[in-house]
Amino acid sequence: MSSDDVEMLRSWVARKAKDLPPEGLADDLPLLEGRHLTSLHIPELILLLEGLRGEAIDVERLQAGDFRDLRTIAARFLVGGPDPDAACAAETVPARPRGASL
Amino acid sequence: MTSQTAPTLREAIAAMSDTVERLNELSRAKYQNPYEAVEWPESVNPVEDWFFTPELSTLYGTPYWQQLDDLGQRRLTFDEAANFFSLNIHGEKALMEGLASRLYRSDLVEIADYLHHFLDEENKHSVYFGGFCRRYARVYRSRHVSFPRRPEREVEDLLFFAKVLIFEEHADRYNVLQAKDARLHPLARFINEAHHADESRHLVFNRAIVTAFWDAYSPGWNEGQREEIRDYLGQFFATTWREYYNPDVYADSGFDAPWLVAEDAWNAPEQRAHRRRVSAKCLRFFLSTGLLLEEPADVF
Repeated sequence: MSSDDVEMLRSWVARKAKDLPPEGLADDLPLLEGRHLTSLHIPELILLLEGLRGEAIDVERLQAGDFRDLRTIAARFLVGGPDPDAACAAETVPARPRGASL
Repeated sequence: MTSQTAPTLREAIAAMSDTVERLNELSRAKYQNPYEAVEWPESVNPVEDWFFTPELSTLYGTPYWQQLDDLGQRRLTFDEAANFFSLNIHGEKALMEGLASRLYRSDLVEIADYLHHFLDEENKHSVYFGGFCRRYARVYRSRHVSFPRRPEREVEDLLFFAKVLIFEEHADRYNVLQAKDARLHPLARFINEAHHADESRHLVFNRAIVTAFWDAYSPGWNEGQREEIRDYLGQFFATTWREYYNPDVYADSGFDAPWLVAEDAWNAPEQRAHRRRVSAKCLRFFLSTGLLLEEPADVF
């Protein structure tokens, strides 16, 4: 994770968020609760975060609270190294099951 | 508010009763057993046969497509077929939840018979899609996260069926094109044809019920509420289209930077034009009803 990644996250949210307060996009602004983003933004946000991390996020384990505000998103997905859930996600999806022959 | 200015929901649903009864009769006449309708081959060969129309590939018209040889293009489109079936599985799962929760609700009891058919047919489709993915490929994951429902039931009803309409109209266009594409493996053509056969009825119902909700409820909403609904639907166009550009597919097809491929493909002019062509009919519906006032941003 780099500060560039966090800035890219901030830039994406600023572009997508509705009705930001006059003081701008604070790190602790409640994004979903404040209706600045909706649940429909999350798949696109996950794509961005996965691209920045370079690895998949185990979506089945996520909750709305993981996207509470910028600080939470950065800490959860960009800060502190690989997500321990990611390995689990990779293990649960077989790359090529039984009926496909090459 | 009087019935001269805006119908009640009961009146709006009564106005579509002939259509719904006709759809009920058709669903009963075309009832199908998904466990008998198809014989699954023991195996399939992703690089020998086409399973997805190449011109519908998310990389078609981009430099990435040209980088692939014939086998690579077949390999990619096989994975894209599995992704197309997977996103239908995830979409139908949410759809079935929404339909089941509305069965026999007092204000929707007049359409309960059709909701039964709708639910039954969606479940059958998922049997086909899941059958293919689990036998020969995999079920690609969804990036949707479950959130608590909206408190406003009227808004939730409208948005639920409007999202179903958008999702199904896009998927149906793919089904129609692929069902008649003689290059495709017969199994791929069958699944697309079987899906289209039921979806053609769902599309009629979706338009009728969305119109009923909009006509009954929107006059009572203020401009801010209507704008929020339009923003939400506009974002849904982006969200549902994004699912077609799945980095997991590109990784399976051997691309080293799958998220970059997804972003490049999403932004490619040829792909924007493709999305506009596929969305054209349902965009016309949303613009003609006033549900949307302009095309969604960042999609086409």
